[in-house]
Amino acid sequence: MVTLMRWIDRKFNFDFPVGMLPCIVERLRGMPFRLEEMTQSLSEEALGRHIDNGWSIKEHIGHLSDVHPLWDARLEQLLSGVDELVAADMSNRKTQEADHNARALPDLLADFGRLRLNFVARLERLSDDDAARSAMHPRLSQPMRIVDLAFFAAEHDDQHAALITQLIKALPGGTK
Amino acid sequence: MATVIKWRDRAFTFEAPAGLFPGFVERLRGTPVRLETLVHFCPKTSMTRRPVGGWCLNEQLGHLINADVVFNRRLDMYLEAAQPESLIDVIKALKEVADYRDDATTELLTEFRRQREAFVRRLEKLDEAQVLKSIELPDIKMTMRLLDLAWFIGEHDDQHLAETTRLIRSLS
Repeated sequence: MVTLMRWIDRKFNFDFPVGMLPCIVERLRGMPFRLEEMTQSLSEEALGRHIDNGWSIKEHIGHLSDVHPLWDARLEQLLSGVDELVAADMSNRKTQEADHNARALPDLLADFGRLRLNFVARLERLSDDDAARSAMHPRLSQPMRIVDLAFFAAEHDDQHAALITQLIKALPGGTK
Repeated sequence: MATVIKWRDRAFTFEAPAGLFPGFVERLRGTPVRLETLVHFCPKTSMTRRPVGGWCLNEQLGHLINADVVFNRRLDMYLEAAQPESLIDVIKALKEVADYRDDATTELLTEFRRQREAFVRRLEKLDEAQVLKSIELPDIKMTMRLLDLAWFIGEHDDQHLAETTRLIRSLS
């Protein structure tokens, strides 16, 4: 299997057409269902297991909810015309302190589904002009449009989906 | 909603590093459940109703089934398990998209899932050297790495999922 690139090492080219937004919205819409399918046959032990000090499957799912306020805040900022977007907490303190492992999987999935549904609904109301609004991304030091924000969130989804799959494959007997 | 770009108007640049391949595979793995969820509440009449100049929902599913047959043979070519001529033969033998219209939606979804899961299982076994291999695909006259093909399929999936959502909303 090919080694997954670290998120922090990713470079992004935000040069694709705004007309990609409906396709990217579809990616975002589908993530809750993908997570449900990936985790439906996993035991509680498998969902909470850590490997090499990394996050458990539950913590990855919780993290996807933890970052949603950032996506929402940036969307709000882009619509209001700020120059620079709010920075992400790259230490992921919210996830580190949340104790997602103590929560039930259906609750974690329901939280994520609700946050994602709301984000998708907001994106679906945007016009082409809205989707092209941009501001500076503080860590990447490059302009980010709303369509780029949506793409960034979808790529972030896939990063964590790939990490969850790695965990599932590393868990012999991890299914119910 | 923003206007979706047409597939034929898309420009593709293939410059992703190999380390993105696992994420591309995840996208491909997720398409069956996304499709199943999208059409879950659609009545049969909606699945077969054609928009002006376009495919109905069952035909969209049929096209994705056909596309995966082609993608699988392209993968054979990368792995040197098939000759370019065989890809053309596979394309010629595909079922006409219109002939999927009256098929049962559940059967179409099952067939798409079966093909896609098999395709993903094949991709998961590849190493970095294999995904970086580049060949010319004779059917679309494009040269791309296997890595790029995986991304290209994900983009193609999303184009049809976006069209599926648009169709469902236009019917409701």
